[in-house]
Amino acid sequence: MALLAFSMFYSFLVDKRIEVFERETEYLASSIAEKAAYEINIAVVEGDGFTRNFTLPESLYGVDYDIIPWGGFVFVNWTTPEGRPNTRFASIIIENITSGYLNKGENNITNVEGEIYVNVAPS
Amino acid sequence: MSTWHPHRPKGQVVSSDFVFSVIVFSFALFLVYSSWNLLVEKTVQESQYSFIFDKGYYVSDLLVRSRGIPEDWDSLISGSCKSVRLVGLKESDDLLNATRIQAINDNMACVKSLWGLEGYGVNITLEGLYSRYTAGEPIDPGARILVPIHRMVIYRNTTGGVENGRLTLYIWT
Repeated sequence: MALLAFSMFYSFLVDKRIEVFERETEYLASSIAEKAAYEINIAVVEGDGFTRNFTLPESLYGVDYDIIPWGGFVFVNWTTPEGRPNTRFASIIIENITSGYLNKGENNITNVEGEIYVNVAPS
Repeated sequence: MSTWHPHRPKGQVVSSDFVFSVIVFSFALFLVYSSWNLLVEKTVQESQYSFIFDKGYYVSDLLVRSRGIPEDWDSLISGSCKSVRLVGLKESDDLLNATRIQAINDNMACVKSLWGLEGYGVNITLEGLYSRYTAGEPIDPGARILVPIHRMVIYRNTTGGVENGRLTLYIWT
């Protein structure tokens, strides 16, 4: 009986840990989306000639993700270890990226005459 | 020589030892359960704190580094929230304008939606030696998480004087 009680208890602890991991992942995904949106917005605000490098995490606690600016927002999409698709997005970006894509890891953003370039040389 | 006795307990399941061991076992499980719950709650709170702090930093940075888009957002915002894309306090390259705090205060719901902070408590306080301006809700002393972001600034107050001061953005949940 003690073994049964302990097994049920352990299973409860594991479930709780999974739930917490999901919530931590969601907060991290939101933070990544916010950071990317901020980098785009600050490049717009600072104006022509602004350039800087910034880094985005390689993964969400080991889970791969995609980051896409679209429709005035930055979306972070990922699939949970249980196989469920999940998404988080940041508040408004002022301008869409003119050319280039956001990467996991190192990024460079440049404002040339109001056009925003990410990881590409301005044309 | 032993004799048979009708009331002598034989093969009994419940004994004082057993009851005692169940109590000790349950207590141990309860201890593990409580500390685990405390730990996971703290972990989630730390993640949430970190998210709010990052978000607050980004919001405050754009607030003090931009004039807003469009630049006359403070006169447009009460007519149409959709006409404003960015809220900023800058008046010139080195100076913030305190009158814009009032525009934020009068349109807090719109500003919170632009910042993506619906559902959070938000308060902005700009204070120097001679003046103090505040926008948003009063700070909730019972907040589960309260994050203050401080920025040292120079601003023009509503009487036209220039002051050194501190802009504090409070976000809580």
